[in-house]
This record gives sequence, C-alpha cells and structure tokens, in this order.
Amino acid sequence: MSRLAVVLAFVLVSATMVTAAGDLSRQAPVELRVILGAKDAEYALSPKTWNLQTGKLYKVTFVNQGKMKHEWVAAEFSLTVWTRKVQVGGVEVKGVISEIEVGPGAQAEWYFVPIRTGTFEMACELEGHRENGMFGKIVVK
Amino acid sequence: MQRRAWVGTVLAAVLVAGAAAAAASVVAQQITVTMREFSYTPDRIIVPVGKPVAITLINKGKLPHEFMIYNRPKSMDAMMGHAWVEQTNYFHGVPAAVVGGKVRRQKGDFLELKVPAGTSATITFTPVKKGTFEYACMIEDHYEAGQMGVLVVR
Repeated sequence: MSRLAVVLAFVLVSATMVTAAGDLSRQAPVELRVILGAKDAEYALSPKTWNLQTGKLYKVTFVNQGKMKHEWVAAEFSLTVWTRKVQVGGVEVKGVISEIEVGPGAQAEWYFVPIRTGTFEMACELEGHRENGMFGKIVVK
Repeated sequence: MQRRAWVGTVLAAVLVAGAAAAAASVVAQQITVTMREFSYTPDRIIVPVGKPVAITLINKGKLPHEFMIYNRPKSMDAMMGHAWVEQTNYFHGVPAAVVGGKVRRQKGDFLELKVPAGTSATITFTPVKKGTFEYACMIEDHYEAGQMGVLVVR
C-alpha cells in the first residue's frame, strides 16, 4: 500500500515537470542586434559568436549599414529552431527560415526559439564575403 | 660543304627569329582593365576588328570578379540568370588564350574568366565580329551594382 503511494507521488511529480514550460512562443524576447555589413567594415558580421539557450525566445535584428547586399546563412542551425516570424517593415513572414538577405541600409527582425543544443556555423555565402571574414558561430546550450 | 651547312643554319635561325618578331608585333595591342567593387576601369574599350588584343584584368578589390563578353541586353531584366550571356557569348567560335584566373568554358568556347581578389589574368583573342558588346561580372549582385563595361569592335 505504501509502495503504491510512492509510485503515485512519482507519477504526479513527473507530470508537473513535463507541463512546466508552458507556451514558449509567448515569452518576452531576448534581443540581439546583429551587424551584417558596417560603414567602416563592409564585411562585418558581429557579434561573431552568439551564445543562446534552448527554450528562450530570441529577437535577432539584422542591420546592414554597408554598401553591399549581405546574407546570413546557417543551414544546420536553422533546422534546430522554431521560427515565430520574420518581420520586415510592416510585413510578417512565418515559416521555416534558412537564409536572410539584407540589402544596404535595410534591416530585418527574426523571432525564434532554439530547440536543440550544439555549435553551428553561420556565414555570408555571397562569393568572397566569407573569405573577408563574414562568418561566425552559434553556441546553443 | 660543312661551312655551307653552318651558314644555312644561321640563315634559318635568322628567318625564324624574324618571323617571331613579326608575330609579336601583331599581338601588340595591350589593354589593362582594373576590377573593383563594383566597377571596371576603363568601362569602355575600343578595338579594331581582326587584330589580336590582350586584355589584362587586375583585381584590386576584396572580392573575386569575372569577365565575359556578350551582346548588350535591351534591359537588365534580360540578364536574369546566365542564359543571355550563354546565348550571345562573343567567344562562340572565337579562340581565346587565357593566362591566370579560372576559366569556364561552354562546349569548348571560352565563356567566363574569374579573377580572385588581389590577382590578375590575361585573355588574348582576335575580335572577328564588329559591333558594340558588353563585358560584366555575373557574381550575385555585382552586375546589379553596376559592374559592367562596353566593348566596341570596329
């Protein structure tokens, strides 16, 4: 009889743990401003390392202050996040995002929740841009 | 008899040297084009038809840049993709010798030359078609940013 009580208590505790996180898409976002091309450094990708945590909602604002178009590509990372939306001007785009291109003077906001841990590469894949230093890594813990 | 053979050899050598010198003077027209983000200097080249020309491309930029010659499109929209360049490639049936860079060919014809940042390459050919043509870089966004020039063959 007492053994049954212990088992029951364990089941109740487990159930509470599973439902604890709630709706991960509705939390206040952690903001991160990312420079993709700067006035004095056309091939800037800054910060070069992003330290993120699973389960948190992030709002990454890509800003291009350079003279050229730049892109942000992180193919593997993109498969390990849930995207709430991408916002550009008055437009919201929803769905899976694998690449974001930002023209000179433009900016875009990407809201997402990392799901898996790991270290991922990111870069501007336009020809020659990576060679000029436009790359970095994303560490998700 | 031995002496005559020797004179003959010298004569032949002089003839060969003379022919080489003549050929070299024909190859003479040298043009230097500087590539940057996103331009060519000069952006207008005028060459006579039927005479060999050597165009040396010096990439002083930080990105790789390309060089190809094709018919001028009516509008930039026609440049979408590579189809226009492939269809109207100036080098269709026109031999071209290239030193340096990375060459892409299409069915044996020279199509495009890619020059890595900080390097140079030379393309030598004899223009056989008169007219006004365009040269450009088709790396994403380079043409759109204005990297093009005009080649006039007359």
